[in-house]
Amino acid sequence: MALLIDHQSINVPAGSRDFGPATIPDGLTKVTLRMARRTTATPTLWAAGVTVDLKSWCSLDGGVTWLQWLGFGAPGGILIKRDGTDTVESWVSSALPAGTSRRIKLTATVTGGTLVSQLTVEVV
Amino acid sequence: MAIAYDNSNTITGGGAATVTIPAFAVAGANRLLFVTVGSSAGGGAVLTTSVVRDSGGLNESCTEVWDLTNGDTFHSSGHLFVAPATGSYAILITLSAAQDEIGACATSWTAAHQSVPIGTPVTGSSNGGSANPTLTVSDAADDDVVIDGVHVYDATIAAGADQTQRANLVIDAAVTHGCSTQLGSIAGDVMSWTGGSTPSWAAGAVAIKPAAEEVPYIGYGTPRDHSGCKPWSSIWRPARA
Repeated sequence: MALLIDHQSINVPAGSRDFGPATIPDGLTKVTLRMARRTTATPTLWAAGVTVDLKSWCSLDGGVTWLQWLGFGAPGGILIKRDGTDTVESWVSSALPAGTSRRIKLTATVTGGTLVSQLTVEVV
Repeated sequence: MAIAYDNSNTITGGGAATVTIPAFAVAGANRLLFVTVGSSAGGGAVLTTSVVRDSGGLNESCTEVWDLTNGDTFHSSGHLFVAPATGSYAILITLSAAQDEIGACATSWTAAHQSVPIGTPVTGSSNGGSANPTLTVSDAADDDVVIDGVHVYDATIAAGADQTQRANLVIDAAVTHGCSTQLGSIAGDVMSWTGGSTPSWAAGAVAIKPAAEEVPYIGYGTPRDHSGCKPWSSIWRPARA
């Protein structure tokens, strides 16, 4: 497992911000993007009304060409799960393409205010 | 030519209202794209708003085949696009609200019928009942391929014996999205999944129809289909005297 970005605190005003590119270690097969959500225990994170669209791109040739890869979009505020607990993070996960010289980069597009959160990119 | 599997990709996620299935290559003749989506949430399941390949570019907006909830927290939908462009493009799935668990599987196919690509969809659901997901696609012909999508409140499920599992995505440890296919020649045309120890689920299935066989012209006389050909009189005219 490798954490390309490990709970990096982010503060993104309305607009777009890029992250990376980062090199994906050879042999790893799965990537997960995580963004910390507002909960009762973390009331300063990701306010209601702030929406984020997180996109990623993957390169198989060291960053010359890029394919759109996984992503998610979500509104802010507290999101209650089926068991009554708060949703701790928004996340998305998928397989990585095989190969070497792989790189990944992200773009977060924020609307409705400033996004305050923590970003994690994990590959296993 | 029989319908043939081409390629696929999957996604899992949570705490989100949209997810993007990573790009994967689509190629071949008489192409068809089929996307199954499942979601669940404590605040109640929602429906799928749209499924678009290469959003903002080609904007290949898929047609909804089925979209249902189990009346509580589980949701399943299926979506189709005929003749997707060749190449590698991502697929954007938009739900009507954020969900706790999301799973999706996109598969591409060749040799699919381009004007009547599917039969009549079949759906089913359970809200804490006792039955595992089981759907019968009664209009499936022998040359068809039946595809299903299930979203189940269970972390361990398995497709029926004659089915080919295309996705078995465990999401958040307690919810699974599954997609499988089966040849239409299998007797009964039943699509089933086992293992639902807490059988809350929503599911759908439909038969994908094969492209029409091309009948080669053999022999003498007039070919059967001469539409599009110019009459001889428009091509050859005798010289005027």
